Amino acid sequence: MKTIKYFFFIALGSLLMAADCSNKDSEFYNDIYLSVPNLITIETKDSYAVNDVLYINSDNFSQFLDEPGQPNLLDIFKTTGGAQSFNFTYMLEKKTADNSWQLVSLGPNLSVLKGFGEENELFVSALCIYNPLTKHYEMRHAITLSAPGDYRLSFGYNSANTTGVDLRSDSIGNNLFANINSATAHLDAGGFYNFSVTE
Amino acid sequence: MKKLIFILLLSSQFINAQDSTRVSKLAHRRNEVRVDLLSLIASSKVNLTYERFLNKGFSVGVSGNIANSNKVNDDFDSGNRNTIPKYEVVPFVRYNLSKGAASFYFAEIFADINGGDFRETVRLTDESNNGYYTIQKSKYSDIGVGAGIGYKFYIKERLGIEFMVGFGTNLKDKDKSPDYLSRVGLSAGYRF
Repeated sequence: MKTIKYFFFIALGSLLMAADCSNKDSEFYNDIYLSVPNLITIETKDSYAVNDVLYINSDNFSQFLDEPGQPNLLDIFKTTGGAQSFNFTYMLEKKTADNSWQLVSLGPNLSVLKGFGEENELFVSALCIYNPLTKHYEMRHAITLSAPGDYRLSFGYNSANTTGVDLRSDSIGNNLFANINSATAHLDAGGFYNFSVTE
Repeated sequence: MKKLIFILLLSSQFINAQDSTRVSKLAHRRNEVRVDLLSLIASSKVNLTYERFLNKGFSVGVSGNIANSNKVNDDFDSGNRNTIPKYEVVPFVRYNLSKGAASFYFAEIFADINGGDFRETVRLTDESNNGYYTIQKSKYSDIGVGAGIGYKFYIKERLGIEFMVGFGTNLKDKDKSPDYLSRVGLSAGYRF
């Protein structure tokens, strides 16, 4: 009899723990994931001098995207219930004398020409904002390179993506969130665009 | 919750001591109806059970429940879950693992006929021949099997208090229905 009781204590405990650990309901079902290349581009130059400008923009980011493997264009505005923006982050670092990388505070050297941009102490938060006239999500940031040195630009602060940019729709209510992995040219294997600025 | 279970299990030790005096009356009361208080409070699920005691060892019964929780509905709409179980009918067979009738452990096997709402993300094409993703809702129904264990004791040979945990799996339409079925309850019943 005692053996049976102990069996029940152990079995009950195990089952309760299993119930506690069950996390199927913790999944999020309002996400969709896409891979669409070149939505965000870095306008590169062969060489940079002090006071040159590095542009990051979303000129190719239409409401209608060519989704690999599908017979027709994907309307991401309709998919996301009319999301007014897509967000991503980037950061600029500069090589220091001891060969480590230090975050560059952009301050007045960051100009938001289209869309939205806000710098915090870790990265720049960028929004590609929907333009109903062009049916594009627009964003264009200009970074004035004010000092010489070796620099690297990356989009990976909030993601482990080393080949491009992770964009996420700012969907509201119970609408779907579109997560777009967008491969970007000019990045190295670590996900950095490296360049130098001379005097 | 775990404290409550502990108290229930602890209380069984005292009730066991008086078990033999209660056997005879309970043996003549072969029917029981009960309501699951835990699921009523925790998940707005009304769960009623009828159980028929066949002999000292075996009993059979059926549970039915209907659920309509605002929280579950909200979670479903906001994408935090992809099913809403709406109803279950659970026929079961139990075996008394203890010698007593006033308090005992039991093992159970059950079938579970269940159904509810299911949501999935699908890609459709609009009138302009552009694709778009949207959430499509449908119904599911399935049948599953499972097993459970539990503990029951009686107060004044009428009022039954029961705690059980059980798990099962759906068999027919797992693409839509929940993979796993849980049968956890704290019930109060009346034996007659």
